[in-house]
Amino acid sequence: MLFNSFEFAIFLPIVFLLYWFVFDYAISKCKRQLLWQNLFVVVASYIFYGWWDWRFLILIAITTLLSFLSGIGIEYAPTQRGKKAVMIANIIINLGILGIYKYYDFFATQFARLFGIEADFLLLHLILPVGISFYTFQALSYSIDVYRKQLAPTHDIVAFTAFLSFFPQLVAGPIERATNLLPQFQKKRTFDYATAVDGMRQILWGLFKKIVVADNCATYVDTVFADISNQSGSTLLLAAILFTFQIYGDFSGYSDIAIGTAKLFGIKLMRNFNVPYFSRDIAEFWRRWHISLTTWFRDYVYIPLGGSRPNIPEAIRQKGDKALEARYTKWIAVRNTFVIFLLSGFWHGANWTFVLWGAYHALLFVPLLLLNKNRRYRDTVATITLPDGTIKTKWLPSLKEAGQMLLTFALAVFGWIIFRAQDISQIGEVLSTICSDSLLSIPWLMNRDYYIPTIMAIILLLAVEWRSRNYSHGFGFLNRSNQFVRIVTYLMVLFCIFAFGGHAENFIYFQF
Amino acid sequence: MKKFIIRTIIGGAIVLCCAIALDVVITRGLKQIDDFIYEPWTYIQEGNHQHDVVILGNSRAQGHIHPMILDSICGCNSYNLGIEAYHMNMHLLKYDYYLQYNPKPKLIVYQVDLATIHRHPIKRGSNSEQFLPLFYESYWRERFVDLGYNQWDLYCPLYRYFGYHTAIRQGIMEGLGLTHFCINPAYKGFKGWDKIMEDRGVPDDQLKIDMSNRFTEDIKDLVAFENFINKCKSEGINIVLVYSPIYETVEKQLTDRDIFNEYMTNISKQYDIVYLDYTKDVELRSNKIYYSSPGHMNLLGAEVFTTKLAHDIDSIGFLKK
Repeated sequence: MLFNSFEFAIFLPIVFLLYWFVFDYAISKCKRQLLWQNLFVVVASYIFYGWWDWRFLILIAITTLLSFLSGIGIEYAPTQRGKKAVMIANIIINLGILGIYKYYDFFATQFARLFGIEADFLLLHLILPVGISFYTFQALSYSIDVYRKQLAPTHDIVAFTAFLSFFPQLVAGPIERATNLLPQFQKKRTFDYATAVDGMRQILWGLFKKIVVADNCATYVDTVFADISNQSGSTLLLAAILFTFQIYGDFSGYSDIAIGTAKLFGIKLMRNFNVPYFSRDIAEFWRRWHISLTTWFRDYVYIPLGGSRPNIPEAIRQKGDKALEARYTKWIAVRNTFVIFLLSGFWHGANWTFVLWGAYHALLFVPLLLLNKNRRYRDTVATITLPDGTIKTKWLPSLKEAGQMLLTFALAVFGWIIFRAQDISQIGEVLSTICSDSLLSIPWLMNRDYYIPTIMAIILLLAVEWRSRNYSHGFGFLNRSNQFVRIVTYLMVLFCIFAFGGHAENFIYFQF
Repeated sequence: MKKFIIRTIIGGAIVLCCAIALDVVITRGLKQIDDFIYEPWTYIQEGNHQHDVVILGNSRAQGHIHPMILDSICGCNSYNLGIEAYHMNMHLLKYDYYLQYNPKPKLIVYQVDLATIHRHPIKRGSNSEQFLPLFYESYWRERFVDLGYNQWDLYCPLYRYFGYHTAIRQGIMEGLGLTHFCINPAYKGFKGWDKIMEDRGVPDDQLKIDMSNRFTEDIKDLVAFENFINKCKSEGINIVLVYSPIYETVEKQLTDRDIFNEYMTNISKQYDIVYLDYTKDVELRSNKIYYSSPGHMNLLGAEVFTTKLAHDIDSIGFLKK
């Protein structure tokens, strides 16, 4: 079921009413009220997912059961070694399922190519289950956290299943941590009017980003990328820029709808995007883009590998050479950075383009790391922190900040060309065309009834996100507006969604 | 909770009312537009038009057979019901809809080709915005479900307009009386092309047409076609089947042309109707200047072709009885 479908528009109110009135209010005196409510979340989530293809519910159920049992296994294993073995077994099985569905055909093809054999008989041609990368990583986080003793293992399989299959974030994240989400299913939720209203606003803003920005951009981008060889450099560059907004509108729009929907059920999900295109360098960009995945790799890969402060081997320490130790530390940090960026790229799909995209971002990140400038911009752009600790936003950035944001944006656009390409050769074709004389030609534009709304929508997106860059989402600033402004805003946004919405497209991140 | 639900319901009701009002405005506006997309449907709805000849078929009917020439040579009153990018199912629906409001004609000129008896999607197909103002009519409501539209399209206000930016803009502006659109109007349903294929500079060996392997093997389509012929015969309406010209270089590429010709020849013998095949007319098929694309004649070509067709129809004498 898609968030931007009418099925979901019916599904959500029904689930909402049953959740609060039947499984909360009506049975509030029942001792097992929480259990029933969680069970209802599970049923609703499975219907939501099964709407796409019910057969893959089995995979979610297997992942759920294995991860739940691994938590108990870790708890009861008598030795530390045993606990570790249980955790590793869970990781291997879950990653094994992911690997078979997502990566097997890719590796089989590479293997066949390497040895010059026919690949066809090696391939499985499996359908990639929607959201498998997301819920697998969520499941892994649970067993790792339990092993690390950051979380007590749960014995409540219903709450655990609700945690792993909670429908708003099941198919495209945010990839929740068990430490954040699981405890919320273990205690009674209470309805909060302000939170629910805020959730509705976030859903509305997410729908705008998806339907008006992303879907309109997609119409142009898909047309251009379907016939690259007949496009001019300027057209391809415009398509790359529009894809930059498409992927942001699509994915952050999904995240906003997911987080907003969760708020309606009294559940707080982590933030996934924080105005990434207003970043002043690529390190800041990665602190603001797909935060749930970036922090997942940081916590479960980067830091365990030593991060930027690895243990210095005894052999080096004994030499007492501080410069050597510093060089070693830097080397490990660079290696780990490459590892997480390459893995992050590969997480997106079984294609060398994603790996190259990861490597490209690693190459941009490493110089900042080596110069110790990767943590320069931890605040939000164009803000002033007053002595009393309150943060005041400025209307406009300084020239320097504007230049930095523009440069970072340009670097991101270049990265999205790599990401969008079907294969490595297509990257070369796109880049060589962009770098040709045809870059100076007038780009092809679609019918003005498409390109004018698209440009207006992008300007509106940037203006609203700039205005609310210190809030949790685009419409966060409406909390402080008067009722008239709010109602006019809602009606205008709804009108824009209707009048300027693109043809419904699937969410890009569903394929990952 | 109570406050939240009440406000949500009130908000929803306001949105629903706005949606219904907007739907009415846009639908009314689109019906007032004078262009080749919406105007023919409005014309049909006006009703009581007595036409001696109606022309059926796809874009090659709409853009090849000019009613003005037909009228002047045959001394009749004709109307072109051709509908671009749609197959026989829609041709017959449009004709049936025409009969809901207008008296039956004396003669039907049905332009047939390989794309005629070939199914392709209606919903969100080419020029599908022309159907948007028709959703209030029970005649179409019953049929649109079979054509791929769903219940949301039929009963949810504005839903069917989603993604049709131009139609929404034009409908609102026209519906609110802010402007009157008169873009590319059709002449009695006829809408030709003014481009000349030669100007595109594509060499003959690179010209292609998307009409090969189109002749259906679906028996349902053939039965529907023959039922239509039977019905017309029983109502005393004459039919002329016309295969209008295709540029010769690409006509040779059509893999199903012989099967199609054989089928149409058999039909004409079986039902005693006239089948005129202009794809073999040397003058029409070989003159590149008559074409805007390999399968479509331009205005000049349409003029020459309709003149020949009109003389042929006139000589048969259907309209003199």
